[in-house]
Order: sequence, then C-alpha cells, then structure tokens
Amino acid sequence: MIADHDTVADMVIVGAGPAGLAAIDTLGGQGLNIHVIDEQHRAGGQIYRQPPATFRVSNWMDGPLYDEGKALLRDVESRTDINWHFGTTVLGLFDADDPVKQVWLNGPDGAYTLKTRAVLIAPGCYDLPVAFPGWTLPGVMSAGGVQAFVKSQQIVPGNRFLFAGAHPLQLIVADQVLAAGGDVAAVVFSQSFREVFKALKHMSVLWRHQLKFRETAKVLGRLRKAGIPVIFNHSILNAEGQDAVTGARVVPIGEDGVIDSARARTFDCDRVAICYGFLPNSELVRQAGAHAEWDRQAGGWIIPHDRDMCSSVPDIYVAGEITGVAGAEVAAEEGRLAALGYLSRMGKNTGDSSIIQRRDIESRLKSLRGFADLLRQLSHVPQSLLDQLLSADTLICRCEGRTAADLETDLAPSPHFNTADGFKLASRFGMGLCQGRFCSHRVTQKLAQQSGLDENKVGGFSTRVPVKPVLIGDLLPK
Amino acid sequence: MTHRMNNHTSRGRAISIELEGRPLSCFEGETIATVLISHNILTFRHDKSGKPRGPVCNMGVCYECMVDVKQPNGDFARRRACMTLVADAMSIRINNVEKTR
Amino acid sequence: MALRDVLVIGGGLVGCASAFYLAKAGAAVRVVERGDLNREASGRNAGSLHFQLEHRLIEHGDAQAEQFAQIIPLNLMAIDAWSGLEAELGVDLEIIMHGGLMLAETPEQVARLEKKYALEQRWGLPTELLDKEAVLKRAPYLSDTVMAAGYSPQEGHANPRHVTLAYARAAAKAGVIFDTKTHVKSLKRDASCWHATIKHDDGKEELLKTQTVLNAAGAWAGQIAEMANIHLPVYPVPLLMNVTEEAPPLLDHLIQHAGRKITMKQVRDGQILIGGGWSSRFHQKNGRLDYDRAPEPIHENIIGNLAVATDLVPQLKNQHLLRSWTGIASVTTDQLPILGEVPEAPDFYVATGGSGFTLGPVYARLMSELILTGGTEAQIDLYSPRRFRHINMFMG
Repeated sequence: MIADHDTVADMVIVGAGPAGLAAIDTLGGQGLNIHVIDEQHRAGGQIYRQPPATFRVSNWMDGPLYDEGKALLRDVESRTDINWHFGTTVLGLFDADDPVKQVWLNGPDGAYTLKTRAVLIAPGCYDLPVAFPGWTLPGVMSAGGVQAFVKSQQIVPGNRFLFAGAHPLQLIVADQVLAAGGDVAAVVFSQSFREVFKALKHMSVLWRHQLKFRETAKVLGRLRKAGIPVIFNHSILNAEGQDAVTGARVVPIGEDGVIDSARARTFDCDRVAICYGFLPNSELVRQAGAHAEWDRQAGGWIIPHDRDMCSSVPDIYVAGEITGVAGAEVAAEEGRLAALGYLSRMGKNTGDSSIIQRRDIESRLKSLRGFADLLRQLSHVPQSLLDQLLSADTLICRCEGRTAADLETDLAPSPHFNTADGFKLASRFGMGLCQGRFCSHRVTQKLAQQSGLDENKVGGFSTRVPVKPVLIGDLLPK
Repeated sequence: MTHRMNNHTSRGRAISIELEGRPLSCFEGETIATVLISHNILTFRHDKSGKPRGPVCNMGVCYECMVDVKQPNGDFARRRACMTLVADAMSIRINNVEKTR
Repeated sequence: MALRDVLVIGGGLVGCASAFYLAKAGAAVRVVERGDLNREASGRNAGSLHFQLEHRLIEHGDAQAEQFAQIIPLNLMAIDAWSGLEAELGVDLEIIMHGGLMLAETPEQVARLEKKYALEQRWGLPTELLDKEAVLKRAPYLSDTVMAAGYSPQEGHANPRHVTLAYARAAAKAGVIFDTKTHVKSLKRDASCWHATIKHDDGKEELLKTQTVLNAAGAWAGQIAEMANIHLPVYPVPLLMNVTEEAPPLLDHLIQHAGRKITMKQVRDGQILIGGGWSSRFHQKNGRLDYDRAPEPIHENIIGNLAVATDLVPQLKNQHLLRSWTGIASVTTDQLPILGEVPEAPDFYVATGGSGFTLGPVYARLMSELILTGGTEAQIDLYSPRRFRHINMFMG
C-alpha cells in the first residue's frame, strides 16, 4: 500500500483485535479517514487469529462463545472505507504531543510514515514469560503460540503436549489440540483446587457469566473423558532434552508454597506449553510518552486513561489489554468507548443516543471487569513460586544469555542503580532483539524487591524507537 | 503427531521452499515457522553458546524464531519465521550467525 | 585529616573518574548525581576513542583547523590513559585500540585529509594517510567509493556501559561517598568554603560544607554554574545513536569520515554502533528547550545516519536496527573543552565539553592534579574558563 504523505488521517488504529475492530465498527460511516495497522496478515487479533485468506476452514472457532466476535470481525473486515495496513509493524510514534502526529511503520514494501490527528493504541498482549530450567529448549512454547498454530495455521505443532501454568486458557488450548488430533500429556495448574473453589464462591459473577463456566466445564469433561490428567497444586520443575524437549518434570507445591523437587515425576512429551497469564504490549504507548503504572495482577505496565479512554497524551487513546489484561470482551467494549470518546471530542455524535450508548457500555464493562478480576484472582501466581523455579544457570534474558545468577551478581553493587534502565545499561539484560519483552517484567520486580522501592520508581526499561527491531535495508529508500 | 489438520481445512496452492538445498513442500498462506515445524524442524537458530533455539510466542514478540531468508538482492537477512509468509522457491537458512562468530 | 574535601557534581565519566583520582591522592570526596550513575552522555555515547582531528573540527577552513589542532596534546595524553586504563582499574572495559580510519570519498575530502595529516604531523600525532588501495586492503569490507583515509593506529573504542561504573567502583573502594538520585539545590560561598544544599530522593535536604566544588555535570554544567552565579557557555546537544543486532564480524576499525556525519564500530559482542553527529530534537517547555525530558528522535535522521553507514559498509543493510537513542552531549561556544577553576568563583572547578568520552579520563586526571596541587604539569591554560571572563565580569 502506498501511503499518501500529504494527507493527515483522522485516526490511526494500532491493532485489529477485538478493541480495534469494535472501534472501527463505531467510527465507520462517519466519513472519517481511518487507517488500521496490524502485524498479522488479517484482522482478528490473537483471539480471532484467522487462517490465511488462501485457506478454507469449515469449523473455524465454532462454539457459542465466539459467535459475537466472529460476526463483528466479518462486518468490519469487509469495510471498504478503512485503509488497512496488514503485515505492518509500528516502529514508533513521533510528535505525540503535537496536533499532527507521525506514525512510523514498516510494511511489506518497507518503511513509511503516516500523519494523523489521533491514535488508538490497542495492541493486545502476549504470554507472560516464565523462566525455568530448560525453557529455552526448542519445543517449549507459550500456550498462546500453540493455539495460534492450531486455529490460524491449522497445524498441530507437536506430538504430545504438556501444559503448565495457572491460567484457564490452557484448558481450552489442550482441548483444541486434542480435538485436532494431538496428544496431551497433562494440564498442570499451580493453584490448589481449594483456591479455585474459594474464588468461585462469588456466585453472582458466576451466574452472569455462566456460559463461560459451562463451556469450561465441558472442556474439563472432555479432557477427563480422554484420560488427560488435569493436576492442581503442581508446578513444572524443568523441561528435559538435549536438542529439543523430550520430557518435563512436574512437582507438588507444599502447604507453605514451597515446591518439593524430591517428589518430582516425569512426563514424556515433546512440547511444553506455558500458560501463566499475559503481559500487555505497552511499548509503543510508553514510547509515545504516555504515563504508565505498575499493576502486577493486571499484567505489569498498564496505561491509565480518562473516561474517553484517552491516555495522558492528548489524542492518544488506549483500549484492551494495555489498560489491564481483561480479555476480549472488555477490549471490545473499551474500543467502542474510545471511539465514542473520540467522536464526542470531535463534536460528532454527541446526542442523547451517544450518552445512552456510553452508559450501556460502562454498565457492561462493570460486569465484565468483575469477571476479569475473578479470573485474575483465580489464576494468580505468587512471585515466590516463580522464583523457586530458577536455578543459577537458568536464562532470564534469553536474547543476551544472562542468567539468574547474573541477575544476582549484577545487582550486587545496587547502590549504583535504582532504576531498571540504569541496571539494563550496566548489565545487558534487555538489550537483545526482544528488547526486554521477555525479561523486563522480572528485572523490574527483582530490583523493586531488592531496593525496597516501588516498581513505579524502579520503572521498566525505557522504550525507544524502533519499538520492534527493523532490518536496516527495510528503512532505506528503495 | 505433528501434522497439518485436514478434516475441515483446505489450503492454498501447494508450493515449495528450499532450506539449505533441501526442498520443503508447503502451502501459500503458511508461515515459515509452520513449514519448518510441519517438517519436524524445531531448531530455528543457535544462541551464542551454540545451543538450539526454536519458536516460542508465535506472535512476533520473542524473536527466537529468526531465520535467514534470501532477499530479492540475493543477500540473506534474518526474519521472524512466525510472521513471514512463505513464497514459492523462497530460500532460507537456519541462522548460525552466533555460532560462526 | 583529608588533604582536601571535594564535592563532585555529576556521576558521569568525568565525575566518577575525577572522584577516583582525587580520593586515591587523599582527598575526601562526595559525588552527587541526580539520577543513576552513567545515565547521560557518559553511558549513552558510542564509545569511540578517536584521536585524529575530527570531521567537525576540520570542516570550517584552515584557520579554524589550525586552532583546533591545539587539542592534539590532550589526544596524546588520552592514548596513554586508555592504553593503561584496564590495568589501572583492574577490570575489562572492552577497550580495543587497533586502528581507526577517517574516510574520504571526494577529491575535496582527500585534500582535507591531507591538510589534517600535515597538522597532525606538526603536533606529533602518529597518523598515516592511506590511498584507496591501502584502505581497501586494510578494510576490505568498505565500499569502493572510498578514495583515501587517514589512519590512526591507536584509535578504537571502549564500552561506555562499563567505564564510568568501573571508575565509580574503584572510587567507592577509595572512600568516595556517592549520593545518587540526589539533586543539588543551591551553591553558596562564604569566606571559608562552599555551602551546598542537596536534596535526596526521599525529600530530605542536607547542607554540605566543602572546600572545593567540581562541576562535572556535562551538558548541565551551565545550569549548575548558575547556582554559583556564573555563566558558562555550555550548550546541551541531543545526539542520535543507533545500534544493530549482534552481527557476524563485519568491521574491524573505528570508522569516521572527512565529509559525512558518521562514526561506527563493532563492539566485542558483535553489535555495530552507528552515530556521528546526527541529532534528535529537544522538547519544549514553557517556550524553552526542555533538557530534562528524553529528546524526540527524528526518523529522517535515523534513516540518514543509516544510509551513510550502508553506503560505506553495504553489508550493514542485512542487519536489524535494534535501538536508537539520544545522548545529551555538551558543546562549548568555541568547541574546546572547559577545564579549570573559574576565576570569579574560587575553588569552583569545571570540566566539560570537547570529546567527553575519549578525553574523560584525561580531564579527570588533570582536574585531580589541578585541585590538589594548584597546577598541572601539562599546559592546559588554553582550556581554562578564564577565556570566558568577559561573560562573568558583570555578574556581581
């Protein structure tokens, strides 16, 4: 796609997942010049990650839970008044404070910029990285990654999967793998059954979201019927293998929260899928200068916003997981709210219907966020458990090859650093290709723990352009 | 078994890419990561200590799946296997940059 | 009883290194840094050790080049300082000094190199002038648009992430007290000493009495000087740096250019650092430049910088740009460093400007010598703040 460098767009939407799609749905038909950017090759985001356009899949995401989202995706995807930029990575946002901002992009034909008056950043999240011995072996993947292979690329990316984590998504993915003809060794949850039960006592929430629970119960039933062990109160200890995963060891967690490696048992498997929760993709909005706040339960760095979903930077809106990981339905409602907020600030769509719409959304959000809170409690992993999984030579920064022991050693002269940034510069943690996405969460927490400072004081690694690495050849004029 | 799901799925045109001289059959619309895994290749690169690495996030975040892809000018450059779609006759290499240093 | 007490303002390379040399010689030293150590230009520059007369110093005609050649004695001292630094501090600083090339791609640039070479010979700096064949033989990775190069066998690079911190650790061992996340609020002098009010991160203020103040605040040296009622013509400039992913061995030398803005080198871990004087842009605050907020990168400059780099080393286009960032360097009105005691403010010393990384260890040694003995063996009057008396003579 050729960018028109002289036109200033009304809105650039980053991310065509549930939040972006809902925003487009609300903004459409108003004669606005809207551009939508997504790194994937089709709309849908991770949750509705579609098969390639060249595929035909007759049973794609069947089930009552997905009907609404799929309908929205179908409606929005066919819109012709939207400028779609697929296969396109956002490299940065310049002049964020100015009325006309510049979005720096790298698409299939190389780098270009778009000028725009407003930006909606709805980039979703990725699986929380959890380090344990063997986690860099080929075959250890995130559960979200496994799921994307199944539902989008239509492959079962392994023979026998062991799922380990704390988030119920792993049940869904295990079920999908099984249905697709894969084998599941076990699904291991770190919570005790009692904890789950305690969280489920909030019956009012249960009642309102009974469909989700019914679906989850069905999944559990299918796994049980297939003889798949679903094990609570256990943790992965390590992944085993020379050149790839050949097995995984799982250990019980004691009453005191301490793992008992003497009682480890080994499962044969060639894939380990990790599912402990999610981190928002907050890099771009932080690079643009928006204020971020630490909330471990909500995914680390999340972006505070006003009632119109506007961040601390004027005309930069946020929606979805970067306001706190809460799932696709919350994301969609926030996307709508951001669109309505934008429209009312533009002096469009300010009538009574807009006020009613907003009230309805806010009331739905209240209920949905209640469910999201419950899910967070349910899938809570104490940091002390994650810390126990490390051995001295476990890599924390996978890109730069920095280990758990290095983290301790490099932090020893800590009077010299109070910030994650200062630590990064001294230690090389976070300096590789993933730009800290796989280690910054832990480094910030570790630094906070050690210094006694709040995570907000310690900060994350500063985000810089390009917010994702880019081939130099792609940047140069052709 | 690692396999392409076929019960409800029809794919795009059958094409072929080449990995260090070895042809790999695949379909239009697949990512490089899908093609390698479907051919039971799980090591996409080696880290500085020579240890194998493979894809983790499958959504463009972890950069563990970087492989060498031949560019139009004939040079090889690293690309994320999980984000890059295959094209007929595409030539790729398992990245050994760190190993050969 | 300490020989002398010194308050060092600024926890960058010059501040930490000066603190080390001062404490080693017996002074009682306290370093006050508003952020973390090594966070500004000291840690954010590209780590070049460049000893040839720089592009920016020779591009404004012969008379100016002649004047800037007077910096060469400091460069010679820097060659010595860096050669022995790892032994002196007992740590690995990734210092590599195996040669730097300053490239020419046009006849005008070749002529400029020839003049530069003559000046360097006159001042005793060991350099060579290489013709095209000799350059490409030494550096076959370079594009064949290169026509000639100045060569300094000692040029190279060190890792700016390590140098300041190594000095700080050695200084701490020698008894230096560091106050990070601590601002200087005011500086007042009475007949006997300086009174500095500092404010710690927890909000607590502290009044320090000190015989001597060393202003090593880099680009912020002018702001610190204002607290002492002094003008210093030091200007912060936002310089762009780029770093690639780890690459296979591509370039062996420090690369500079006689007519284009570029420096590049490959560090030990394989990343290639690319800079050379491309700028970012300061944000504004209340109609003034905001030196305290991270400057805005300019993507045209990132691309411009990388385009020069790929012109010279075409293989670079197959590497990823990992990160671009901005270091805030200090430039003085005459481009020479400011080193010495401010005549209008007794016992108030300044060390800033010039090639702050390459010359940092030298500045530090000179300042320590000057503060403790009242003079230096090397002749440094040329760099004294005395040359700016005219802007302080009406400052009461």
